[in-house]
Amino acid sequence: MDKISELENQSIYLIREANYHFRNLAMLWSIGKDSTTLLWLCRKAFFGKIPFPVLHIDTSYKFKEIYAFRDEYAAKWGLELLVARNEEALRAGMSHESKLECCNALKTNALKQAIAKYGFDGLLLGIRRDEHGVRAKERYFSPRDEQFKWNYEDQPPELWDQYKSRADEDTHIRIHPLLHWTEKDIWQYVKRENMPFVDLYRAQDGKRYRSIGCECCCAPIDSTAWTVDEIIEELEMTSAGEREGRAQDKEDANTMQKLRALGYM
Amino acid sequence: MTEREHLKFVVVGSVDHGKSTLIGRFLYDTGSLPEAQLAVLRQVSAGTDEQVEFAFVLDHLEEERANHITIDTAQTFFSSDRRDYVIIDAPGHKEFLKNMITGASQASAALLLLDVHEGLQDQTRRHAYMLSLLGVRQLIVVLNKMDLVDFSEEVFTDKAAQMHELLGKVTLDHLAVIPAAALGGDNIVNRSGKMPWYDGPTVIEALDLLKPDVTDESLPLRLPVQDVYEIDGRNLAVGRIAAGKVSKGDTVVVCPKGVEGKVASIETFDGPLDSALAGESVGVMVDGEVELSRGLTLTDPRAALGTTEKLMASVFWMSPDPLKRGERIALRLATQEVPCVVESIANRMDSGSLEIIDEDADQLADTEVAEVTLVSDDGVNSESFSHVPEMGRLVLMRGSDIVGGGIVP
Amino acid sequence: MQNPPKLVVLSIDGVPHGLLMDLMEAGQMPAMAGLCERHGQPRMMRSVLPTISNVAWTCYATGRNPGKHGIYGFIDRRPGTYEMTFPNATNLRGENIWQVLSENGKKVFGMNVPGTYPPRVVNGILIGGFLSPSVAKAAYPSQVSAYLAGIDYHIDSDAQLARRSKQEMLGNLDITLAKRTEAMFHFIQAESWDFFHVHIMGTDRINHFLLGKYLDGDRQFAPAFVDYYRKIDAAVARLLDRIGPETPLIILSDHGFCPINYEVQLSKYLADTGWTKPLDDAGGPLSFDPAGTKAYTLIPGRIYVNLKGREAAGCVQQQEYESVRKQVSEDLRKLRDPEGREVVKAVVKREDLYWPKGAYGPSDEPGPAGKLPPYTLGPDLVAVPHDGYDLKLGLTATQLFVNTQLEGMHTYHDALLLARNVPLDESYLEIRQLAGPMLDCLGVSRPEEMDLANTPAPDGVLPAQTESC
Repeated sequence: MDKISELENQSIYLIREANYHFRNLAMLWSIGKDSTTLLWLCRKAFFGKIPFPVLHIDTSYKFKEIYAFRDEYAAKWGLELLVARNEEALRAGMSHESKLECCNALKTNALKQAIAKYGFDGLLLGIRRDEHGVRAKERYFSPRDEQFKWNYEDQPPELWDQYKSRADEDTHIRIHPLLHWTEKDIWQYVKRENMPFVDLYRAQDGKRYRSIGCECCCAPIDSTAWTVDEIIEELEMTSAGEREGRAQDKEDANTMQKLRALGYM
Repeated sequence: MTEREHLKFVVVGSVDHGKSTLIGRFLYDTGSLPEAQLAVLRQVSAGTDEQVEFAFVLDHLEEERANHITIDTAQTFFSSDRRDYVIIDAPGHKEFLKNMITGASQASAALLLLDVHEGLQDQTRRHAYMLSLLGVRQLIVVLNKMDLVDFSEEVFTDKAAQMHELLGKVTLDHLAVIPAAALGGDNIVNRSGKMPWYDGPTVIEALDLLKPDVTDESLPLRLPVQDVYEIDGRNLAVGRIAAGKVSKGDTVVVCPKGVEGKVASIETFDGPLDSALAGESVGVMVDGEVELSRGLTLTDPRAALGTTEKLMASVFWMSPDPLKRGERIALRLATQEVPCVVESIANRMDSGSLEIIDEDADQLADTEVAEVTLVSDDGVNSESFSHVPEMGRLVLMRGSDIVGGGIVP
Repeated sequence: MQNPPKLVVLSIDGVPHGLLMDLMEAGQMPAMAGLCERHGQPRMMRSVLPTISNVAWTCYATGRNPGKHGIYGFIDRRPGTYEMTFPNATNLRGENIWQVLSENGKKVFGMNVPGTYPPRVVNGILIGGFLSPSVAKAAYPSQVSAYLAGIDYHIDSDAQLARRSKQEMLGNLDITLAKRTEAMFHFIQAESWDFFHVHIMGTDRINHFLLGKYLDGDRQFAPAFVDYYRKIDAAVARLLDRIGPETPLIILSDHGFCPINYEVQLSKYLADTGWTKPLDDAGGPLSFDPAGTKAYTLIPGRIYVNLKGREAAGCVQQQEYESVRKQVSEDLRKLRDPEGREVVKAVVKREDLYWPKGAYGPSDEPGPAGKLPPYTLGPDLVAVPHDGYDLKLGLTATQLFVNTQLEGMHTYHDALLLARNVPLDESYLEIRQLAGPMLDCLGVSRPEEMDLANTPAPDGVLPAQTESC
């Protein structure tokens, strides 16, 4: 099986496991490419009708393109969409000068409020391991306590697709079905599936967003990539260096060609 | 373009043995570092030689960059000419054994990193044994820091012989022992100029020689039912095929019930399939007098999957609170969840020394291994790990925590 | 303007001793002629077996035989498989002379020498040779690439152009040479080098594709051929001017050349004689069915026994090894060209070419701990052809003997060596030995593992009368 199919099948398996084990499951959708991929996989896992709510943490700073995309596909795919905002903080005029504070109040606290309100005991997230150094130590199923802290060192072992799958009281478990996907895997999957995604990822006026979130905190990169193929190619050059599969095959092919022309083959 | 293979391996060893240096070398010498980051590092270390440049790389390996180029440290990706690799990190201290187990349970091979001028410890043997028990039977031992012994052939040969002896009792399919010095990049990716007496493989060559996990189509069908969904008024059983192949029209036996049914359709959201192979997550409609539910297994009628009320497994314990004879404990194997009683704990062994502590024990403590017999009313559908791994490995749970793992021999 | 280097080496790939003599005599290479007048005629020097540039230059650079450094050709099989791989410096065992000198505090420079990609870390600059994939990757330290890119440095001339149009090839060779010399003269005065080696590949190229026409006196191409060598001579003149009359200097080639009668599809021959069993959809020389293959070949003339325990799926038992070698040799000696002439001059056994451990024949012992079946062993036999028969592959070829655009092939016995102010004694007759006097010249002691003593040539390999210099 090719790598993408393997990842897809594994993710679907995890999503179905999560759905079986948790009483009150929800999926976090940030409308970015990763969580949209997760959403896509959920649709596959449940044959089109996702049996739990999809939660969008709205910080109200986000690009209007994001809202448009969200509403279009929530309708198209018949999602049970919940939108959570930290109304208080917004009213008090949260500024984005202190990034951490802003994120905390608007995102994290909004999530806390939603969990408290709806009583979710399990959350599906589109976190990937190659995204964030600290995340790298995450497991597929990670317990969080009330303060959303988890003890790095005292993680439950995961063994052979058997996961810690029951939350103790006052905690919830986070499930990361995309943990083993890389950025490039996501884009290749997007390409293979012809998956829709927010146009912000495409280059406009020589710039595009590699990841999207709040308008204020995201910095676009220089790029001319418009199609998914171009995005993938760009990734190959910037991320895994020249030694990755395609580039090395090309090198070997060049060497062979040269040797052949010289009569050394 | 032909598809590239990919292989996951776990690196076992402590930071003092040079693990982060080793991983840094893999990335740096294969050119797998993000180009942008390399460029920045080159600027910073400009004018210095490669050794210093590499040291910078190491230092910055853990840092996050503002423009979202990050390097994963616990799951690292790099490529050789032949394959794409994923390194799963596994810490090297006893208390982190369960972290290693988690990492190793996903790996096809293990790299055991040792300091060539340190003695070989119990820990090494424990790791190798646990790895083998976890089904990781391809081992590459890297005897690192050869620079500290002046790249001596004698020292290496001596140590390598010791390794072979130490690992004599461990079941392995493949073992290579390689002299290296990760700091200078000797024999990791590039062949060392300092060890001309060594003509075996470099670490990356040894990795390239490993066999990836191959799913064997000829194995009998094993499809553990994960859940049952009602789709358009029909009951669709979903699950990931653990082994073998299922085709539309096949007759299957539903274990443990023993009832036969016919596969009416194999479904995915993208459409129906004529057949599906191991690893695929599918939905299945089965005709016949059978009600499907989680925990049942669809099997090939020509190769029965046994139901055992009295199951013996090689169990390794992972909790500070020991397993006791007579204890009630939950067993999970594939999608089955079966309450059991521990009938006996035989040949209790210290996994470090591989010495038997007690032939007939009352309990099993953290990091120990034993042949544990588990009795259940309903029985467990299992088979030998060496035949179909997914149906031969189990975990033991207390509450919602995994406290032990086991292999059905 | 820095002091001239303490030792300069200019290598001109594949220039046969005889050709240089002819050109000097004809007054076409005055700078070289002048050099020889003052410092003695160039000697004939023995190359390596198999006679191919990356093996020869690796022997030169490491002072070791292939049994120690592990490079036996441009292509090899990937360890434990029948997949083709292109060995380069990552597979090189042992240190090269630039590294040895660096460790002794010398400032070193190397440009374009075959077998130096990827460049190792040295106290100075190393720019890889013609198989470097790009300017960006060819140089150590990496900053040098920026300069090279800036002058549009050519790693190599375009080999495919040569197949299409010899005329265009000439233009391309000129540009490549111009860039090479531009870089050479830029770097030579940038530092006070101890060791400075620049390699020119174009001579090998032009010999491959135009030697025949030159020897035939072709009206169009013979003058163009000579013209190229005049340009080489001009570069030598400029170099002599820059380094002055006293600087120790070596000019050498790695092998000689002779015109081609036929290219011989040796893989096909082994298939025809039942040694190699090609697969139905065979592609390259390693596309055979191991169960039906007792021996196979890799270019040029390297013969491998499909030995059980060493090869990925060997079918020849240890006990059969010698008889297989004997029979394959006999079959090779039987080969005749369409005119009935003998093709293979000699078939040399591995133990007569390579040493020491790791290079010898099959062994029943499991070997020291840590060893996998030693894949780095070289070929079991090397077939040395008569002049004119270029041994190739062609597993799925339809004809044994072909002619293509190639007009020249390598020869073993007549590389050239010219030395000024570098003491050489009478015994320096092989390219592998040169590291010795070069190290001596720079006051660095010779590493023990180097193979610097003269070795006798295998039987039947040298022409009947070879001048020993």
